[in-house]
Amino acid sequence: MDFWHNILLGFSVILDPVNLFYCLIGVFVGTLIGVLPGIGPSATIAILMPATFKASPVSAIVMLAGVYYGAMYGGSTTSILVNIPGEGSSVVTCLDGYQMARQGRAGPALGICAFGSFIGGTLSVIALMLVAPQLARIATDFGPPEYFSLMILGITVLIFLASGSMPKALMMATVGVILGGVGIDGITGRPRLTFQIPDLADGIGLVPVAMGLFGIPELFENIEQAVRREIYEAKIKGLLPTLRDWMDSKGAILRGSTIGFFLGVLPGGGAIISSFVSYAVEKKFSKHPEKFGTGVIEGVAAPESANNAAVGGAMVPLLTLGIPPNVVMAILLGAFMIHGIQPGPLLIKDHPDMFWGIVASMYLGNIILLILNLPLIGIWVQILKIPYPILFPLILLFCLIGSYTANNSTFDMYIMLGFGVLGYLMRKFKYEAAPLILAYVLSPMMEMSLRQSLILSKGDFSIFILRPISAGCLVIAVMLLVSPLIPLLKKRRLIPKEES
Amino acid sequence: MKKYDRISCIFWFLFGVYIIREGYTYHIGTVKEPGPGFFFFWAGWVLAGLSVFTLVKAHFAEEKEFKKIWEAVQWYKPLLILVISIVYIIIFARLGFVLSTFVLMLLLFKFTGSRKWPTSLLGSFLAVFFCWLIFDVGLKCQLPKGAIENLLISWLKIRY
Repeated sequence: MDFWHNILLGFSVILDPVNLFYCLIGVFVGTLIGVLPGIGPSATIAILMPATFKASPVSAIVMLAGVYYGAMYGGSTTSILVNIPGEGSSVVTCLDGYQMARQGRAGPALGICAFGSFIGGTLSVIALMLVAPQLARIATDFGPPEYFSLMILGITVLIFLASGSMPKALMMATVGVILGGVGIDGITGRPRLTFQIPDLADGIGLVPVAMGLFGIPELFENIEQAVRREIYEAKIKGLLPTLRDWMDSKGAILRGSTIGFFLGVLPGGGAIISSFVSYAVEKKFSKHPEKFGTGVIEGVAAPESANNAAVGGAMVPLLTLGIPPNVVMAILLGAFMIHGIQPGPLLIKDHPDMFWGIVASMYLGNIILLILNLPLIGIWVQILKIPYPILFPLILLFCLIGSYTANNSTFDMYIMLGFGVLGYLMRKFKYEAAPLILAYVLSPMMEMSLRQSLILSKGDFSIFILRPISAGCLVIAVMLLVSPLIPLLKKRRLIPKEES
Repeated sequence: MKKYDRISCIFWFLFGVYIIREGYTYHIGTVKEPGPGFFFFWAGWVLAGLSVFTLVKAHFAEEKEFKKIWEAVQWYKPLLILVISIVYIIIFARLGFVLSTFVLMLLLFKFTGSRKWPTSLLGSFLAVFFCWLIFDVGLKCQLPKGAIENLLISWLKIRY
């Protein structure tokens, strides 16, 4: 009874014209940036965050979440038509999607992407709706040690999955922890690393940091080299997949949705990993794995369902534990905090309109996206043709004005540019920004949990090991950090054996 | 990459050492009662330690081929944009949103985007107008007002 009551509450929230408008804007912008290579959901959410300051918290989060799952839909369009992934999560879609386009089957490829994304997205929202309240109930028993260990695990998984060097990712997480601590100390009231600048008393703002680290480097990298895009010019027809296409894709969509949801829930997981894993699984399940990469529809359906399902999955730890499993969710957590709402076990109880409103918005958003993506595909193809020299001044302007409007301060504009340069250099020197931003967002909570735990235990570190959930998280984190050393140790043990 | 790893590791090492020093001055406290510098102090140690580890690793690593990170890129373009942006921030509060943003967009369209003068002028005008519409009118953000905005306001006051 309660369940249906909550669903109705969610729909009554999202069907409010203002919220509906924000949802529409969110998914539209999401699809737009998904289509445009060179700007990702992290940067867009950061850029759009100031635009939500005057909105209600529900409208703001509904819009920003819409950008994320909208980008998952839009990302596939460039993968199929241009062979350039609009988003990281659409990289694998290029393999078979572009081949299908070259064989004159761009329509069914785009169609199955939209339907797969819709099914994946909707199934994951159902799972979110069922899992989140149960998890939130368990999480009410969590104390500072559990939170600290869980946050350590989240950052560790992200470091473990870093595409480059693990020590470098660990360094970036540490830098994030330090930057997150800038400002007045929550317990003693002592200013730290503020250099007597009043603007730094509240810490370094998330908006300029996120914009700087994600928006500006993308912009710089796109303008420093002139890349020519070749767009599939033929008329796109037959967007509705045939019965044969459906038969070939149904298993892939269901498996992709399941994988996507569960990988989305895991800290450090998310849309990109889900799409890769689901493609690999599909290849293994297939009767004709050798055909993957030549334009098979399962190779498009599985990753696209997975990356959308991952969005619903990623919402679970954010909304129930207040812990973002990936970078986009970390920025979204910042948005929650800016609007004075702390996601966590009490969110569903204290702000049911917010939780159920988000859930309902994702249902509705998926339907809107299906409508936006299929009949309007021609418009998205035209948008792909906008030259970057016209786009980048607008992106830069939004970054500059957006960072100013956060606090009406030009200091934030300098902060944004400073982090932009740092982010650009980090890319050049092969350092990843994702662990930095995640640690930066979690740092204040982490520090508070650590200090509270130590005060509770009177300085006894065993508090983290004696509590089962905390111990479990720490054991997994240590295992992940140590695991890259195992092949090295094995190799060393093998060499003396071979020599003897 | 070895050379670049060395440079970046030295930078992070020095930053780590600075954080250790700052953490120490903020009062580390005890394990029973951690002070405001506790987290900083240990984070600084971790950062400095990791940068030394990466530095040593880079020193002993074999490098098959040295690739310059600035090779085959038009590095002056990001630099030009950076300079233009800094100038924009400086004039933003003084000249007001409309004039400073128009100048910024014109410079970006014309000199980094290589557009023709009419396209650049029109693009700049439209960008300023829509940005003003979104942020000032729509979102009620208080963008700095300069001579043009004041002139417009007084003209509107006289007229209405």
